[in-house]
Amino acid sequence: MIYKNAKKLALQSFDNNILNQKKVNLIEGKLKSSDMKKYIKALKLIERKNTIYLVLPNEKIKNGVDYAIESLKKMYPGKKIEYLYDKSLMAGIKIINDDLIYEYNIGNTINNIFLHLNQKNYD
Amino acid sequence: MIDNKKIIEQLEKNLSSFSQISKTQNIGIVEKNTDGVVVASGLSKAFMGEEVKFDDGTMGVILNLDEDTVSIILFGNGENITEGSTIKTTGKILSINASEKLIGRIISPMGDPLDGKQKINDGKFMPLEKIAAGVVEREPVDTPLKTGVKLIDALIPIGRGQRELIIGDRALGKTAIAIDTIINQIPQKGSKLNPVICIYVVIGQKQSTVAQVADKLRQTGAMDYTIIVSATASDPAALWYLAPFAGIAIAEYFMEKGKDVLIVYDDLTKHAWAYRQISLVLRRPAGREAYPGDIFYLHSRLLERAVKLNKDNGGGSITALPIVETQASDMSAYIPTNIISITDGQIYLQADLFNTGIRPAVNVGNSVSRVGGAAQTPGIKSIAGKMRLELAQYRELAVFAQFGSELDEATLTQLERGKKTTEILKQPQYQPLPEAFQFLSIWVVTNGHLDDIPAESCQKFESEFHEFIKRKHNTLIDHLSSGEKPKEETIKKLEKAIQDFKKMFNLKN
Repeated sequence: MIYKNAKKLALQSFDNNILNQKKVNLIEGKLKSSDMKKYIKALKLIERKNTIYLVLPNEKIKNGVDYAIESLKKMYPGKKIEYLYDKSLMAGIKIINDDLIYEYNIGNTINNIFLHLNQKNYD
Repeated sequence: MIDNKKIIEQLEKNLSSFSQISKTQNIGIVEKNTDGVVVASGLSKAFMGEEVKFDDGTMGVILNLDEDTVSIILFGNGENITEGSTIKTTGKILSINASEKLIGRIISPMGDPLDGKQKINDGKFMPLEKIAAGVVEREPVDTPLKTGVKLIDALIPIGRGQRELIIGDRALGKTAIAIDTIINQIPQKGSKLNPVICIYVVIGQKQSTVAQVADKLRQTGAMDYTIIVSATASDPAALWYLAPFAGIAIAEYFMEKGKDVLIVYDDLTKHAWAYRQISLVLRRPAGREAYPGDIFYLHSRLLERAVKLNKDNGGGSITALPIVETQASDMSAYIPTNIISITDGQIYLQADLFNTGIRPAVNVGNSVSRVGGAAQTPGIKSIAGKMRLELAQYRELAVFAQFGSELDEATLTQLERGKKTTEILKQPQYQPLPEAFQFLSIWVVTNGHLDDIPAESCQKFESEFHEFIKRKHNTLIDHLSSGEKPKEETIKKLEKAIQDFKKMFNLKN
């Protein structure tokens, strides 16, 4: 099976962005292991595209970012929002939408200044 | 000790240029890493030719954009790049930092120093890929670029802004001609021509060869106006592929400043090999000799960037001397024919001539310069025509003479003259001749002053005559160096000088 078909199959496995267990079980029983790998890869890709990760410095500030959640829901209707925690952000947030990362945190700003001063950006 | 205030001031200065904090990043995940090519998912906002950075610091450039993946060629060996490694886009098209400080340096195609000196960080970023100057910005090639090789300057003249291919089998002196040309660009006293900045691009050669060339250039003082861009045999194919583009990007920096630049690509056969390797790993369809379909475009877009700009655009120029290696003198192979058709002429070196001791082993019959007399000084032009004709007649008669039939006196004289001309056109390596001495040598043979000298003494005669003129008639050199057609009076002086010299020469020998 070519990857394109695996991708089509993976798309069909979702109902309103929710993975249908019955469909997955049915497909699993009919695929060879090599095709199964492609199918899982395609499922992961779709899942990644359907999810937005909100990265916070710690769990305590989760309640303080309701405004951000509301905005994200409006901007990306139908996408799931999940929380991740990373202390290196220090303060602020990071939003991961598939392969795009939006950085609004001190950790990243300090890193960028450090790289700029050392001229390591493009050396 | 550095003053604290100065350190803080420097930090403030650096920070003031930090105008935009990067807030958005486009990332990708490595799926495959094979033979210097990485296939990655993600990177949906990446564009063709964009520089990307891996999490281990390795740089790469995007060469393929597919539906779900992108293909990236690596500038390093990529040993630490594994499945799942992350990649970030830089938003920057592949470019090289060019400045005057590069002159005299040996650098990699990424601008990293290879001569043990410091990296140059300030300068202008010049894109490696750029559309060549259009028709409106150009003007015809009419200024000579002196190679210092008598045969080339007289019979196959090269103009500033021209693309002249040097082609031949291995070890016939292709690089020697290019190096002689670079050495000959040492500013000459009395010359009306602008100085030339030289860029020597090494593609897939041994490091020892590069060291040898650099050493020779240093010894002759040519390194003072030369930059070496080196991608040697041990470098990844991606660097071989990028080396000529890095060279031309640097050349364009100087050309934009109105300067004349000479760029040597040594050699484009290996460049084609590197591109074939990359294309095959990228799974692009293979064509003739397994080269990809765009191999012609690769070389045509590179060589089209050699240009002579008009005065409104600064008047700078880039002259390109690509080198191509043939196998068993086969000029009709794929890459040689491609490049022959792109360039404005070729210098063809032949093994038979090399083996019979004719050096430079240029086959005049197969060599051509499509710019021709337009790129010759009036001085050389006035004598080169006669020599070209005599050589052509000699070649034709020499074929008949092989049959051993009886020949009349006129034919024998012509054959003898041809032999002498061939002798006088021989020239040792690394000894380019200034224009005045080239004129003297050619003038001597075309005016029959060597007719009574044995062929084996011709070269001795030539060198001693040069010395004689330097010692006794220095003013003649100044006249001939100007490049103007010599006046009657100068010719008379020359006639007298040769008579005097011949008396001395005959007495000595």
